[in-house]
Amino acid sequence: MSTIKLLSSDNAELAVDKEVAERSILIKNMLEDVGGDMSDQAIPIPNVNEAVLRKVIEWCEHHKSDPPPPADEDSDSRKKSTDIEEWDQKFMQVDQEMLFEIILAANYLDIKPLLDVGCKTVANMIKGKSPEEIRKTFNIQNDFTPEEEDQIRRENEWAEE
Amino acid sequence: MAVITSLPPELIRAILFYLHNEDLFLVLKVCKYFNSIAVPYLWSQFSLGDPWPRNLTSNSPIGRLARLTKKNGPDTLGYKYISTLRIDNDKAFKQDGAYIKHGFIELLGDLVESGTVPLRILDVFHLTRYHLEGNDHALNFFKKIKKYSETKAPDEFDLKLRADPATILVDDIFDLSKLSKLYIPITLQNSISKKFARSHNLKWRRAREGATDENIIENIVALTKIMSITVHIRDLTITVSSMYYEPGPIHLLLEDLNKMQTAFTNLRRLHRLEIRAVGWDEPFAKVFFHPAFSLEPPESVRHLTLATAVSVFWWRKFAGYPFRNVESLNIDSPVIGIQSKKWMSVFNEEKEKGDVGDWNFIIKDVAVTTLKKFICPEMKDSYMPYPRDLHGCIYRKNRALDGLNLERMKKKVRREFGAHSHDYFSFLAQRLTEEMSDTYCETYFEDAGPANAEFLDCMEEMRLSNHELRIKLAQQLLEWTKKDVDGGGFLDYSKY
Repeated sequence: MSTIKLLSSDNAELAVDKEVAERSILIKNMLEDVGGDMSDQAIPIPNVNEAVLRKVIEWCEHHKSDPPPPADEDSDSRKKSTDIEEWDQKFMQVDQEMLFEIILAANYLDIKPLLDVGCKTVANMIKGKSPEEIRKTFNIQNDFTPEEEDQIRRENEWAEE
Repeated sequence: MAVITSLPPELIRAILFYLHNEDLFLVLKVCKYFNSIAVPYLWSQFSLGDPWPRNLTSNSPIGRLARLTKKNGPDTLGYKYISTLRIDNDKAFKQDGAYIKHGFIELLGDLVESGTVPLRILDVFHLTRYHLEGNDHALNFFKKIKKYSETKAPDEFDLKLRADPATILVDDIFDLSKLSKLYIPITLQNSISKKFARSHNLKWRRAREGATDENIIENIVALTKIMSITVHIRDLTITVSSMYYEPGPIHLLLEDLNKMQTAFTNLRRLHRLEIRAVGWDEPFAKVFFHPAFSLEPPESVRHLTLATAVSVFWWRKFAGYPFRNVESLNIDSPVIGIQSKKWMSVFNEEKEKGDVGDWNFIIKDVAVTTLKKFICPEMKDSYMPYPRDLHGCIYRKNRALDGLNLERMKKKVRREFGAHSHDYFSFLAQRLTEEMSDTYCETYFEDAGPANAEFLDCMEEMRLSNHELRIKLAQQLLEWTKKDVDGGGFLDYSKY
């Protein structure tokens, strides 16, 4: 099996099986454009550092033989389920900084299933929490003035039980 | 450093996708950034009848929303973000329901008509004429939307419908020229014979001699009318279910079917067409009006699914029709449910031409050459007439299917070859092992001396020469194979 090299933003060179790297649609298209032969040259991944890139490769490695997701998927028909398979759950047990870096990297590298797992993980952290609890969980500043807060409350109280 | 607020809006939206509305209403209170994304997101798809939020269909929230809108004006709420309006449940149009009682239907209709709600898509998922007929609130609501949509170009407004013909045509409330996607269930119902009724314990409705029931014609006419207006339709699914329907002579339907064919032929944008019989258990005819009626799809169709009960005559027409732009073809056979089956095989004109109309027939060739995808179960014991050479003909004429054909052939050959080899070698191996073990046993018996010979002893000795025995067995197999002991019976495919 052929191997290719990836160059992270902090100049680390990582060797990856071509099949594994091609879970990334960005890399797959890039290889197709140059005719597949990148054996001597490392592909620069300027937005992703070594630690994150290693993590992403680990995921691709584990999911290398997954069937491709159905192509013409309607956004309606996508299920709103936030179920995550066990291996992915463990994989996503990382600190928040890494979690968001993975989401950004999956988005940049165009790895849809990994992006979905990341988004589901964050959604699960939000579910059932009050606004204050959400702020605490993600360390977000409440930047509303008391007047604005009051207005938002009035605009949305119709929907509350 | 990556924090949640450093994610771009499209990724925040991707996260919000997995949250239910009750959580979204809390997320919008967290901070300005979340608010600016969550509010448009929440309102962008507005569903009537769907729990939006969870308990919207109960009385209080929709009443509160109506009151708040009237008090503060629509601009203080998210109406300007609504781009899709979805009718999930026609409970929203119940005369004494909360939506009408609190004036919300009227209010929303006005907001659309005045352009405050910049509606782009009306997606009617569940609607029956039961709540529409004689219901001025509902009718006016749809008429306001129609008026609005008529001012829009086809690429600015999109109508998706899932409703039966009668509901679609109630009071002319839909701007069918904007219809892009239609799912239309049709129910066919006509008279049944006394005998049929008795055998199925049904109420018998008197069959009129020589007359086809109005219901069948009505459905053809309604479908024709809809198809002649829906010039922008891209995606059409017709499901047919039958209630006590037993097809009669086709000539009674032919005039109306021909008109319908013309309406279909004139659809210039139809991309996907699916005609499917539904319902598994009932003994009613699973046909698209008639088993001998073959609808020729308009030339624009690329994806075609046909899954109704059809006749030999239908297949002959199918074989000759080029399906000029069809890339994927999906043919499925339902349980036909036709009692007499007389329309399935012999067609009067054909009979005169000497066609025996046997269910087991061949078509010899097909005209279609553009297929890239072909899905069709190989119906060995088919429920309906089915050409034995369909797959062969399709693969012979469609080069883009070569890969698929090879895979299919591989699978079949592997199975057959495997079964033959299994039979052949297990037969040889059994005879050989018997011969070898007998020889071994005789030698052992003599060497050990009859008085000391023990079964376990013999087995232990054999076990020690396990490897050699296996090689000997394989060599012997090779010898016997060369000798052609079964006289060429190994791959006996004469039965094909």
